[in-house]
Amino acid sequence: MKVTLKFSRALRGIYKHLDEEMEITLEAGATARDALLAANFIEGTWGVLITGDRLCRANEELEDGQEIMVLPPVSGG
Amino acid sequence: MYGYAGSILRVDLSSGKTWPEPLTEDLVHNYIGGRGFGAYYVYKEVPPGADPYGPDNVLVIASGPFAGLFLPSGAKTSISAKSPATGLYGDSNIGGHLAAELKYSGVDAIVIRGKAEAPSYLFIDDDRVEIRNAEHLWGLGSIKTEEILKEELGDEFQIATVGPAAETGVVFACINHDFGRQAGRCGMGAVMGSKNLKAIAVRGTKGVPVADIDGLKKVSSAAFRELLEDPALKIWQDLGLAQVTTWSNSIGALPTRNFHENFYEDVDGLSGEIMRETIVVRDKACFACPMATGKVCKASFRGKTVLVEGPEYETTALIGSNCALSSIEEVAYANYVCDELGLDTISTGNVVGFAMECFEKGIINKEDIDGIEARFGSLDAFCDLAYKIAAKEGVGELLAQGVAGAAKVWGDESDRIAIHVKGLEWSGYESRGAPSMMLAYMTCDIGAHHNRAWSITHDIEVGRDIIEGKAAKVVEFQHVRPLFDCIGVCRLQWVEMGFPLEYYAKLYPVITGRNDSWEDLLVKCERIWNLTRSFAVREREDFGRKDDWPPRRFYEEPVPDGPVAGSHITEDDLNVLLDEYYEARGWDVNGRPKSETLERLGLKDVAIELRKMGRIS
Repeated sequence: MKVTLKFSRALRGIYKHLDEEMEITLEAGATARDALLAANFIEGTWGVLITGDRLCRANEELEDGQEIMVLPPVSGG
Repeated sequence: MYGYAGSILRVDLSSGKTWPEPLTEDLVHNYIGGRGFGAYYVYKEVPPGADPYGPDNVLVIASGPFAGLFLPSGAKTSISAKSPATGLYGDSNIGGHLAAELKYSGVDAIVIRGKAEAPSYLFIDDDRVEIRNAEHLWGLGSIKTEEILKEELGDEFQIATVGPAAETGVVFACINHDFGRQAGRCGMGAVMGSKNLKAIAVRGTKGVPVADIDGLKKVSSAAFRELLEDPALKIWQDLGLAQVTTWSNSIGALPTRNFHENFYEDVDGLSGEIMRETIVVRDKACFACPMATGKVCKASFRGKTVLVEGPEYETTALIGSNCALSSIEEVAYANYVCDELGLDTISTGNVVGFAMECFEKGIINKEDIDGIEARFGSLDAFCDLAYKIAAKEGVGELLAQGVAGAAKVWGDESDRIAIHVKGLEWSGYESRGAPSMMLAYMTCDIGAHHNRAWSITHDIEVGRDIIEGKAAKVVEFQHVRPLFDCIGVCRLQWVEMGFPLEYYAKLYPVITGRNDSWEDLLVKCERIWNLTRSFAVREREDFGRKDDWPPRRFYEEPVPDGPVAGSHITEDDLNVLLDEYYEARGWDVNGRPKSETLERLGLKDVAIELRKMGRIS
């Protein structure tokens, strides 16, 4: 299946090499974490994930065609 | 002077006199505003060796050129003084609406010295300034005091108050505003309380001159539009800063059981989502802020139901996981107790967590702690200790000195687990697996606080076990992040949403009419950083590298479990970090600014003074 990772402006501000989005091909049953690791993210370098208008857990199984917005880790001020 | 109200309000509580002084070009040019003004006045006017609780200490309440204007979140007031927690320069900042109102009253900063004969509050209504009797407020909680003054004066007044903890002189007493915003760190509330000053009430109706009003409208409109269109905005509005908790836990940085661990097994009960689902009753924003990260929550305990703003991340980390509470409602209730008593939640969570570990490890026994069953996870114990601390009753008198003070009495084994730097308790990021963040805490000018440099993602990106080459990033952050405290604007839009720094660089000239570049402003921040360091060097003959050393726990105990289990940092690593840092700063091997560094930054008078004292060469 294919999913699309969309990288927020804030994330792109930290990781300059990122484009606005990246399409990832995954096995059925793969999770959001799998998608991020496949995109060469290191655990801990992403923050909140959003799909549609709701939060997406890192261990949530994805569906074909799903879009995930990736936000950066947050500092608490 | 564009961007400024144009005056400094002087208050001498001993004589009961108040008077305005014109804001000077030198002060604005060299120190910008906010924390910069605070550093200037504290260095210049607090004599070496002055008692932080004495009349010679000054309390500086200052906004900056961005505060109160049409732009995202020009809401910050910095409050500075010699800190009773550290004996060094201290400051803390506060959001809400105080900064805007202060500027509308025609005041950029209030400089308060002396001590009132009787409990008093400062009343400012444009040019009408009075020191009023506050005996009817003395002893009341922070929130109750604000409620009463709002009733007496009207809702238009913006009010800052202190609670009972400030009246008794708890070293981590805070200043409260807007029913739930705090200048929490460094005991600024204790300084205010020591002056018999219970509150400050401000109303203003004046304008603030701006160099290019059309330019401001244009840049700010674009800035607001960009923020409002950002998909991350809704998440911030929904979850606020509590969303940090699960991330911090996932990377092994969440203080747990007095920083013994950095991974909390019960974190799900403390998450931003659970908070939203279970206890949030409404959202709340500071002046001109679209993020609205404030969350007003309802919490019940011991048959009492309260409304409280919070908890945000720091409170959740230090009161929640660090004291092993397992529900966000418990944390919210403890947050309420601290707010009403006027206790900094970060330091209180540290102090109670420290007491709990000392009790569970047998370092102290039940008699040492007034018979309280001080076990991790007990909200009863948390509340009992908080009330005793605020009243300085029984064991509370000792704990009111902070973990450093308590460890002097409870002995060497407790000193090993007293988590502070320079006497200020550590805030919400356990850093054994993040060397640059560890260095940021070690070298923060007010003690162990994260707000000057937050570099955990740098550690993750570069390598969490790498030591060398990280000091430069910490120095870079220590200039850019405090710049927000100088200009009087909240940095959340930048640090959390990636709002481009270029907007602030564009706003500065249209507001002030000055042609300083962003880089010029960062040099001013470096000047301020060196001035606060010079305050410490002037204050203590033996001040130096040892004062930048972290708690022993962090280099004597590896992380026991979680994502970075086994991580530890050695004393050799710490020395490498400090050597690189001092080199990058132009300081000597003992961490004292070199003469040439001070002179390069326009601090020649400071260099001469420190040389005469034999403190620097």
